[in-house]
Amino acid sequence: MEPRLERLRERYLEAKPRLCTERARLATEAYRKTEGEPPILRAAKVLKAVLEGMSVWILEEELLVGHWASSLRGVPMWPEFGVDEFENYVRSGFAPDEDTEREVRELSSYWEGRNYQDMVRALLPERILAAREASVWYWHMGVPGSRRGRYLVNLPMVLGRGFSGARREAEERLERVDPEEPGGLGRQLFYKAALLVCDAVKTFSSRYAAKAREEAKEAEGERGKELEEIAGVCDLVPWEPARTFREALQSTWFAFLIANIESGGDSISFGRLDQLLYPYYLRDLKEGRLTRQGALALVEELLLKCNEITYAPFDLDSHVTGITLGGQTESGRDATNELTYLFLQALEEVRMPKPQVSLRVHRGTPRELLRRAVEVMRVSGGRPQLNSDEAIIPSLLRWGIPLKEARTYSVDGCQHFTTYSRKDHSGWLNLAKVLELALNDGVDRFTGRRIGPPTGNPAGFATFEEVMGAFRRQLEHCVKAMAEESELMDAAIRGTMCLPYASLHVEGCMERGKDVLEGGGRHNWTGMHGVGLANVANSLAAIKKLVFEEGRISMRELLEALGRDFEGYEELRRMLAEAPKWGNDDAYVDSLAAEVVNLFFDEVDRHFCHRNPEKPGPFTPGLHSLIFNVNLGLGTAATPDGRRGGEPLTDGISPSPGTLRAGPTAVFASAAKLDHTRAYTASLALTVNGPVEALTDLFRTYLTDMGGLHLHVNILSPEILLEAKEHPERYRDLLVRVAGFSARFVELPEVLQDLVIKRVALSL
Amino acid sequence: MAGGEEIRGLVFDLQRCCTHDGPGLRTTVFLKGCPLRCLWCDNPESQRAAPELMYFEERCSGCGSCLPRCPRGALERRNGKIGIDRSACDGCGECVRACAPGALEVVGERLGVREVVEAAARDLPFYRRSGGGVTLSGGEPSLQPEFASELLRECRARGIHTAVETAGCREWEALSRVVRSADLVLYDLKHMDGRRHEELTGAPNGLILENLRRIGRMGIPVLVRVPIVPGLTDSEENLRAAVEFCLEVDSLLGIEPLAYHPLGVPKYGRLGREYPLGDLPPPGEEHLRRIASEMERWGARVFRGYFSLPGSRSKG
Repeated sequence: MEPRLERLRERYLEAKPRLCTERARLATEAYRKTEGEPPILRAAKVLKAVLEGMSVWILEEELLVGHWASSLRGVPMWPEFGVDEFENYVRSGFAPDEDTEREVRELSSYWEGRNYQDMVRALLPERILAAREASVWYWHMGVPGSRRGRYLVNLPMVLGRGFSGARREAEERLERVDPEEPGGLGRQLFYKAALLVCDAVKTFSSRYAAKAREEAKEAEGERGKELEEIAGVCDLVPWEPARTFREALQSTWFAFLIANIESGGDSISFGRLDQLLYPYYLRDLKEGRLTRQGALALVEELLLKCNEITYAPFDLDSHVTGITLGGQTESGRDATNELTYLFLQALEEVRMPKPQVSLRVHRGTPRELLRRAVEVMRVSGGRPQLNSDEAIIPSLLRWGIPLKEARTYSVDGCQHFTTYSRKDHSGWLNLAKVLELALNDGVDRFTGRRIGPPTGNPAGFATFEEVMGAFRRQLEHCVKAMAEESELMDAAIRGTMCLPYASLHVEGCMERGKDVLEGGGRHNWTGMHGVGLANVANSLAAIKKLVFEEGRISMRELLEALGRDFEGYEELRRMLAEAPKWGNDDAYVDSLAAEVVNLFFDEVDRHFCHRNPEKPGPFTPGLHSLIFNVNLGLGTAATPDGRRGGEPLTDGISPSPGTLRAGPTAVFASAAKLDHTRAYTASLALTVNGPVEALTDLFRTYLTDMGGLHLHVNILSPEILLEAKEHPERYRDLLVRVAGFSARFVELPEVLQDLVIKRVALSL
Repeated sequence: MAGGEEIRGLVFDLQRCCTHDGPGLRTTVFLKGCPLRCLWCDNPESQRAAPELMYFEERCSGCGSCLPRCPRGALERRNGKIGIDRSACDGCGECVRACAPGALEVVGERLGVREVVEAAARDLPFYRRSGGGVTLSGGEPSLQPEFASELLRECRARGIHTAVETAGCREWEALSRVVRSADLVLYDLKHMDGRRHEELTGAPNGLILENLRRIGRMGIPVLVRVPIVPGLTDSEENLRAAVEFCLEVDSLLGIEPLAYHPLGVPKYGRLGREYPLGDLPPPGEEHLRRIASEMERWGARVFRGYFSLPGSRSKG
């Protein structure tokens, strides 16, 4: 990496995330001024006020400009969506000074009771609140809030037509609306909001142009010229179409930045940058405007900048921005190009936790590309993660995305697969808690509160089938209640909160003149992800074998042990540990895992999401955890796989830490027994060490020959991690994969550090 | 196998996803029993051609519940733990079932050809993708020629690439039966000097050298593996002689220097044996690199680490 970028990188490493109230202050003022106006116009005016009023500053030596807060790694706030976490932030010392603390508290008290989270809470029936509090599920809605994020910045639109093009379209459509036709007034408002937003985007980039010119006057030598160039680029993009690689990158950054400023939603992503930027790269190379080295430096700067989109220290840093590489063209040919390799090199050199980078792998992927990706994984915390087109495209087809569009899918955030025609939401269902309810007659073991239907005292179960029957009924109940909460959340947002900027990006909104939160996108789905699969499969295998087949433990004994968190039941716990474990290619437990997955998928498939009431979309079932296996684990009592109450649950479809006996091919063989084409995602995380070539063959087989969908691998030895825990100062930039995203190991809280260390260590 | 009883073999381990026993990703089947006693052997449990008891003292709680279970009275209390009379123990495994903390294990199990093939076939997609397959290792597979050759044939019939690892110290009739059924032979050459060979492994090398020539004449691809044990096998004289000898072997694929490692040392204690080489350190990476480049200079094609053979990987 060039010295200039090394110096920039050092600044990112040094900067600590701190709350920044600027955005919230400007937005709150605008909300107050526009009270009573139609929500979509209000939202547009709020964004306009923010873009016009927020600080504009340029970091020394940077060429790509634009920041989302008033200082580097500042964390803006969106109180209109919820203020629950604010008090915590202040108490944990994330406010840089007393003035900020006071302002955060003022904002909290103004928004208390009138923010989205509180509105939803007021609508929820008691039983749903109880289940939510009992950690049965988690809807991503506060900060980070997937209902506000999870979409792709529409770069074909931004780079190809610019916001001037979008504005023209909104204008034309506005003229054509007949206000007397049904919904006409709403459409008019939508287009008016679009005009306001496009103008605000122009204002924002022009402010940067002006700022650069102003600084150019003071600057000495080279930097003066650089600042003039920056001004020239910002005069043009993202308002006009990009003409060069540099303009394309600046335009991409602005478009992405404003998306984040608008909503603060998580997982707003870039899409397939190697494909999108390739024409600009080729043309610039041919016409002598750019060298490969120059392109690399710009890409590296973009990757560095992704690290300022951060939400405060830890739990918030799961804010995942995705870049997708590789895969196929619309016509199904391999899409690998020079930029695919260039992005991998940039990732390798930048060594910062963000962004998430995903490599799409399919049968036509060159082996060399995958080999290169494995090399990069070693130093970049398991990035790129790998996704298989062979599993993902069929699952997108299944939910109604046409083939050509499905082939161009991107990864949004961590492990969700999307196209420009939809915006995602996601929630996480705690499968281990569902089992807890089945083994406790529908009652939460921790609180004694009834959560699910009574399914009988399990001490009286005479067969294993009765256990499965109770599990099925609890599952049915929980999925239904979870879907119900999602529908209420959609209903509460409709007509109150709007995202006029996001609606410029999600295809369908502009045509229909409808905000994305009201279901304006062409497709409207909601993801439901099962957490703790290995805990449940291993628990069921232990019950089946030890209680019902071998009779070595009685159901009563097992229930007592669970009730006492295995205190005084060490011998029983040891027997449980010896039962068959998921991830060892053992049919006994693998078939139970597959059964649980099918039951879960069947239940989810029964429900529909009505964000767009005219065209209900599916709830899409997936198996991944992000970091909610830790949060949800806290609220889950002991499980019959030997896990103690409160310990983290297992992640995605990954095996339980410390239970692998048959090596990595057996892990993949187990994983491949699940039907990945029914899954929206099925994330498998491993820590493995071995020769690059062998790992390449191993991963490729799973992804292209066995039906595997996703892989996120730490190629590390546990010894290094232990040492890093001991001597954080020596490992300041050691990156590890956490769950769908990578992080600096030394910045993780201890519970996550230990989890990463404990996770399946395999050596070839 | 027409009708008759299924052939069984004494196997002490079956390891999936091996990357150092031939090309690609492989399942290695370890057969128990070996005529050699190499001082540096990392699988001492492979040597005796019978099931053996392994004792993990650190796991033993000293509860003594194993003692009454032994039909031969081979177990006794010793310093709060247990002691095993190795001459009386026949590895029947009765005690293992009584041991709650899992401190006792029997190594060596009689497995049928079919179950081994089934287990090996589980990784077929990995073999195809990587140009891998199944490797019979040991011990010395040719001590169980019938089982080994049948196993290799059955694997081949399933389209699985086969390799056999041998030290070649076996009369030709038995050895040839086995190697003939394999696609690739991994042939260990421990030392070129006959007397030194006997000191280090317990047997002279005449038969071994002769058998290697014969395999060459049969045209079966052979990869010769030379253990690099510091001070014992790694003299320039020995390595050069080995390379020169190998270059005369018609079907030689190449030579693989195998670094000595002490990872097998704890197993000696579990078998109630002393490790003969004490704390000999493994050769350094620099030393190995130098050896590899010397070998190349002498005309050998050198293999190191994970590899696959040209054209063996599936496409698409």
